[in-house]
Amino acid sequence: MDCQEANLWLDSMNHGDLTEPDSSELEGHLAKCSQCSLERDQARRLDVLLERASLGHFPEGFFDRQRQSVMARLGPELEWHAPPCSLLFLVMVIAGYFGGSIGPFMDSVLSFKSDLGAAWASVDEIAPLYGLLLLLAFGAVARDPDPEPVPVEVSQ
Amino acid sequence: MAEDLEQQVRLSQQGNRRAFEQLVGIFQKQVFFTVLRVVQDRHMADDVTQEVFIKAYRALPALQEPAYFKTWLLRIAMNRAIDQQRRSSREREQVFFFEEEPAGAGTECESLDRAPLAELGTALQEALASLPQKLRRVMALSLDGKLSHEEAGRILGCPAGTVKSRLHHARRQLREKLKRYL
Ligand SMILES: [Zn+2]
Repeated sequence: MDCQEANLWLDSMNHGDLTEPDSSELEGHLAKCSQCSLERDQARRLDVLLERASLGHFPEGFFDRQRQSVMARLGPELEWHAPPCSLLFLVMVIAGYFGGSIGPFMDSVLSFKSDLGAAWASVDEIAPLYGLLLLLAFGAVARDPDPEPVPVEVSQ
Repeated sequence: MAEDLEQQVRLSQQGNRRAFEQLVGIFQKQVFFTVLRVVQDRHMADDVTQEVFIKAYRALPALQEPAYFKTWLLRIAMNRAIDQQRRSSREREQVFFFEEEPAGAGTECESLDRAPLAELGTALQEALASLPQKLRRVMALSLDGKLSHEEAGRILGCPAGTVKSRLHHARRQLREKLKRYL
C-alpha cells in the first residue's frame, strides 16, 4: 500500500468502515509511515472539531413558533372530505329529486326562472326536508375532517 | 415507527393538517439546520424552512413513495437553500460556535482545546465556505450525522459512491485549511 492509497482509507478507518484485510494493511503502512500517521491523527481531530461545532442556541419556543407559522401560512383551506353521512344525505336528495317530490322546484331553479313565486308554488310539502338534507350534506362535507393522529416519535 | 411515519405522510397527502403538523415537528430541526449550514444566516434559514414545508405540503400528493419523505423533503430544502444563497447578497453571519467543554471532558486534542473558541468557529466557517459548491453541499448534509451515503445521494441526485468520494475530498481540504488547529 502506498501513501496515496493509505490516504484514501484514512476516513473509512476512523469511521470504523474499514474491514479486513484492508485495515491490517493500512495499520501496517501507518506503523512505518510517519506522514500518513500524522494525517490519520489530523483526520481524527477534524472529526472531533466537526462534532463539537454547534449551530448555536435558539430561544425557547423558536421551533414552536416556526411550526405554528408554517401551519398558519398554509391558510384556512376548506377541506372537502366526504364522510359516509354526507354521502347518504346526498343520495337521499337525489332520490327525492328523481322521485318527483322536489323535482319541479329544482327544475325551476336550474332553468333560472326568476319568478320565485312560481318556483315556490311548485314545492310540495316535503321539499324543505330535502333542502335541510342538502344543507346537512354540505355541512358535513365541509367540516374539519382530521382525525386525531397517533403521536409518532422519531429520533432526530 | 417507520410505518407510523409513512402513515402520517399518507394522512398528510390526504390533506390532514394535524398529521402534517406532526411531520413538521419531526423534521423541522433537521431541515432548518441543513438550510442554515448552506445559507449561513438564521433569519434566512427560518424563512426558507417555512417555505420548504409550505411547498412540501402543496407538492405532497405527488410524492409516490411515502417512505422517501425525508429525502424528498431535504431535497426541496437543499434546492431552496442553494437558490436563496445564490440570490442573496447579505453578509453571512457567524453560525458555527464552539463551547467550553465541561471540566474533565477534554477532547484529548490539545491544539483544539487551546484554540480560542470564537476563532475556531470563524475558522471552521471560513474553511467550509471556501470549499467548492459540490463539496459544501455534501458537507452541509453530512455534518448532521443522521444521513446515510445513500440518503445523501438521493437528496443530491448522485450515487452513494459519489457522496463518499466528495466527502473524502471535502475532509482532505478541510484538514489542509484547518491544519493549525488540528
Ligand atoms: Zn504513507
